[in-house]
Amino acid sequence: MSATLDTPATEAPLRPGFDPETDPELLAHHRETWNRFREETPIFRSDFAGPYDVFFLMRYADNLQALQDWETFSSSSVIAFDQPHQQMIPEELDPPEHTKFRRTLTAPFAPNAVRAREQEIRELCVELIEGFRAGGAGDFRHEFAEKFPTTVFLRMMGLPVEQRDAFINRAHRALRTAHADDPDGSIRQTAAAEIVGDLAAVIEARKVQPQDDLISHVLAQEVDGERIGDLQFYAMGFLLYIAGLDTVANILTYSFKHLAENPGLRRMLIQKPEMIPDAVEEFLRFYSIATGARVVTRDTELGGVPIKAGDRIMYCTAAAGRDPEQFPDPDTFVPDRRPNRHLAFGAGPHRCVGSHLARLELRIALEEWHARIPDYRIAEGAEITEFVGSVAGLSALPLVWE
Amino acid sequence: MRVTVDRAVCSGHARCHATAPDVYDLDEGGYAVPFAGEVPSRLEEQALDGVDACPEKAITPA
Repeated sequence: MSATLDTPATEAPLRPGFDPETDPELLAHHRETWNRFREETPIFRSDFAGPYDVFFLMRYADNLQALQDWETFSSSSVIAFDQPHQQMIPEELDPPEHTKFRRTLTAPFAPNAVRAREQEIRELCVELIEGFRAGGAGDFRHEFAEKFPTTVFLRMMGLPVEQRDAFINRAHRALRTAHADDPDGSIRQTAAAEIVGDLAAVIEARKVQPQDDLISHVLAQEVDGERIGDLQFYAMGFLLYIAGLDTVANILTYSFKHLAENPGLRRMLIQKPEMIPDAVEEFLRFYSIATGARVVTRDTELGGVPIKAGDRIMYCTAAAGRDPEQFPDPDTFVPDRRPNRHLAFGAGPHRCVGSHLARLELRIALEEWHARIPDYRIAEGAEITEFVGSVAGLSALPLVWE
Repeated sequence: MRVTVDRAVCSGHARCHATAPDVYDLDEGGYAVPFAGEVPSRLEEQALDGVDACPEKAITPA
């Protein structure tokens, strides 16, 4: 007898206790492990976060559907655990509230507004590279990948650039502390409180005397006919802070490790810099870093498995980016791949508002670095470890150059 | 050929504009504004590349 339409969907397989931040296989072989999981269990669930199931989405199509369907997959919390944490606005709001706050950020991060900053960003990039180039060696992550986007962000926000290293440190603790190392969340909460303190230090001054910066811009916006309140402002500033500092740093580090190991690709991009924009898209697909939760609002079905109201799903852009159903030959880096509808910046109403700034920073970094340091390799005996969490990345990238 | 953008689905990736700037413009917030009226035949291929570039599948050719 053939299956009827009301045959119950098969329950998603359980990977008991699976936690992406600590799973040894995932940390040792990040993308390969997601690939194996996708083949074995395109959607699986874990019981690591408590009384509800957390479903991990390995397929491109399921990730796209969940990111677009905000009514079923709510952003009321974007972390797997049911735990107090510094709220992030607009990321942790659903429409229609989300739309009101998101609108206040679209203009300064729109492609045209970002393009107007290109010269300034290029000068910052060149200044940084010239500061360490003569040394002939250095940790790419520490010397460049972290400092470049952080400097751009602090300038744009109107925060003190001379405190850059302290800002980087706070963002690391807020984003990269694993739940297993911080079960009550206090380390991350402390870092978040310090970040809010950084914002509080300038908010009063900007209220009195607005400047040409993002903090002043947001403070001047109205939601429902009223100025944005301090707590809401902190929730927006905190999000901008952690989203702007550690994301471009990670994709830059993956990209330059790839280029250090692939001199042919490097030479091609130096000879044909017009290929860089497409190559940036391929780096974003090949090394997608972001993972986050959605809270399921109603009993539903996704990719053939039932999911209950109150469960959570984890979108996983690293797994989506290597799905052969979407990308032919997904584990091959194709610098001119088209189409390339990767989900590195998410999809749906929460699409990364900083995506156009990130793309510009990546393009400028590739252009200016290679104009100055065309030949480089990974230092012998370098120890590079990978971390996986809300963002994935490499701990360091020691390089030597001519 | 005409192209329409579902404004409820467009999320401002701006990949259509990056891929086919002569067919897709952007508004002040960076959301897609498609070519008004019939797309000239010399731009049809670009218009379809723009459709293919959209992660949200927000663009429909007709």
